Amino acid sequence: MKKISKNFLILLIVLIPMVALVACGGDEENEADSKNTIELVYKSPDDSFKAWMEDAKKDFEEKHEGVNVKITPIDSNEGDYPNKTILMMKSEDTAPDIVMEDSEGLKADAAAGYLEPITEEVKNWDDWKHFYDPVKSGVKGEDGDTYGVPISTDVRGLWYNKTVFEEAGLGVPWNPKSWDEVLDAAKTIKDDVEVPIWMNSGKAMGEGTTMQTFLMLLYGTDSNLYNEDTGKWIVESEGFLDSLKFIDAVYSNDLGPSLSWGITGQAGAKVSTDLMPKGEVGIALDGNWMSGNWLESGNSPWPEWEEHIDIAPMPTQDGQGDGKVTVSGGWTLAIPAKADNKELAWEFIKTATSKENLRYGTALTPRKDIAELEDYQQLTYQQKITDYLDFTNYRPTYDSYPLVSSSIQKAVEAVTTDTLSPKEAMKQFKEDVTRDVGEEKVEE
Amino acid sequence: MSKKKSLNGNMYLKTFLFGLPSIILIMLFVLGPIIMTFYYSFTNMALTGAAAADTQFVGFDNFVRMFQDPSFKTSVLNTIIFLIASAVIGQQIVGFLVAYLMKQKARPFRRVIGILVLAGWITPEIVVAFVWFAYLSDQGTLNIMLGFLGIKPVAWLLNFPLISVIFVNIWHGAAFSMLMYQAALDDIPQEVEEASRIDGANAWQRLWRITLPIIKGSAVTNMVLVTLQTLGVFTLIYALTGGGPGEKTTTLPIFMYDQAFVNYQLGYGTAISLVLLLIGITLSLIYIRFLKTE
Repeated sequence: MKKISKNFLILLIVLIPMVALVACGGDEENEADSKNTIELVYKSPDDSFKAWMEDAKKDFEEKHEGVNVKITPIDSNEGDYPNKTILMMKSEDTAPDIVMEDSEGLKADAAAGYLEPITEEVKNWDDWKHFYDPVKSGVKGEDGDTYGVPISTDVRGLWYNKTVFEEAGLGVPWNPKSWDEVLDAAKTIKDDVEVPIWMNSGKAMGEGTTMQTFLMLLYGTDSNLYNEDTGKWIVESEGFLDSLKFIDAVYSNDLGPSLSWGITGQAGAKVSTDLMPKGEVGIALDGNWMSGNWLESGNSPWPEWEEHIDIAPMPTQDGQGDGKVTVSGGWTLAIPAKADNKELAWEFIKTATSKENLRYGTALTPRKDIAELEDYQQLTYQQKITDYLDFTNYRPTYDSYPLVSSSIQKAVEAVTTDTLSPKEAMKQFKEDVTRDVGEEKVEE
Repeated sequence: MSKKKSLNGNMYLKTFLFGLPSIILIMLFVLGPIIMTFYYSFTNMALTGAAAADTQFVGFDNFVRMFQDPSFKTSVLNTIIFLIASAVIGQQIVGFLVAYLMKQKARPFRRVIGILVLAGWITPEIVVAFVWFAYLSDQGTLNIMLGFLGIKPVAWLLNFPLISVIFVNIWHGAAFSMLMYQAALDDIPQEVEEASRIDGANAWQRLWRITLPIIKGSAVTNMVLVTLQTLGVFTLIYALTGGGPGEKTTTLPIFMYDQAFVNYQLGYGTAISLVLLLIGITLSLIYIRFLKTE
């Protein structure tokens, strides 16, 4: 008896790992099924995207009999979503047919070979001419090919409190013509509010600090971050230094938020959902989505917000160029290179982004013809904000952009917390980027 | 004689055959990844961008870059402080003290205290992080309690970030050391203690001359385990401070994650993980050496 059980035990020891090994193999996908199914993945939670896609799916399935559109949510935050979709796109077994792709990652993913170029397709598509030109340039890869169809875009500007401005004797509507005028206005209201001027200034806000603050400044100077002609990063410039000096001016004059919360990850939410409705913020340099918080469906409903808050475009440093500046990002629909069903996927993208179907919540539309529709213009300031798209800038989101952006955030936070002077922070930025991307890829 | 030998050989073959599946599994899932890690750390592998399509061997570039990077130095320093303060000193001493003080106390007492300390250990890291975030935040429990004493609220995670995460890790991990020391202390023969008591040794002498030398082996084993656990702590710090503010709580695992999954530099991140592995191995060897010499 004892012997049998011992042998049995040994048998188990041998068998269990074998079973485990066999179980490691995957299931084969059903070929016939996949021909008429297209799968789309999106960043969840996003109710307005989901609602729009459900409508587009209904429309598409009616027109294409026997076709099934599978809409798969990927629960993740801003930071994880690209990682998750990249891992899916790496393998033929898991690549979806359509991916909701942030324009930020599009150039790098295209260079990595994860995305299918759709240059020919959009050329033969009548609707393509209705998309804003700057938005279209934002979905091009390094090679000049187009890799996605924009579904939304965004801009940044100066939200300001009309009530506070009027009480302080500043003219409303406010239209600052230079950085100095912005600082002057903040100084004027310094004693009236808790935060005269709010802007993302910490590493904890990640890309927000780069895009909503630093690039909004830098693109208003005569300098740039990236030289498109030489393909090199500009690690030292007059404009870079001036941008840091502006941030320094805000914090050294106590015009910004208290640093005990102002550079934490929760600061943005505190400003938009708590301090702004309380009238404790004078100016906020932030994205057009900010007002979404105050809608009835938002995080912090504030029905009277229109009476108090307005938005003005960010001026360039001394009023040069267009006199105003903004930066845009946005989302696209793209087709992975390893998708099973590229033709059908393209057909679906066309249907979903048509004038009739493209209704993505309160996001700024990338289509000029939709921007003229009455129901679109009903949203407060929507028309005014959409006009910013005429002079917008896109980020040089090439391979090394995440590294460069991290270094920018580090420099901004160092100036904000007074750890480094603007000059020292630029020196640190130069050293960081030179080390990280290589000496041959930077210039002054 | 010869029959015995062939029997032996047969036995070895049998043993080998029976062990084979496990050996294959270990090779596949343990040794394989380590070798891959070693290889990838010498490449420019990236999650996206041109380097993802065309990964190349870059020699020691990643390591050169690492040793030039001031952030790497900062995170090594943070890792060492975190390791020594929270694991080597904190968890060991707290764990030992709790176990020692509980020794030979009434059973209900041992039980209640034991369960309380264990509660911190069985709670998953992410839950520990949330609990402590709520406790330490601006309007958190701690600040409210300090408020009753008339003390102004302190932004703990902002002004004392490293001390905060060290404290939380001690709270979370001390129970493990406590269990180890409890087992070791229970193994000390009663006679030895009694003999020393009869010889007139006071409590301090008994602890220093009798108890500690006997449990030295367990202490070193515990040191190795706790060190390795603490070297790898990621969730706790990441959820509490994200490595910030600035780089004040960026330890090597956080630095590695940032490089690999925020900056998409998988090769560089892998090189950092290799350094982490080497630190772990070196420390373990030193501890074991220490055990052997005496």
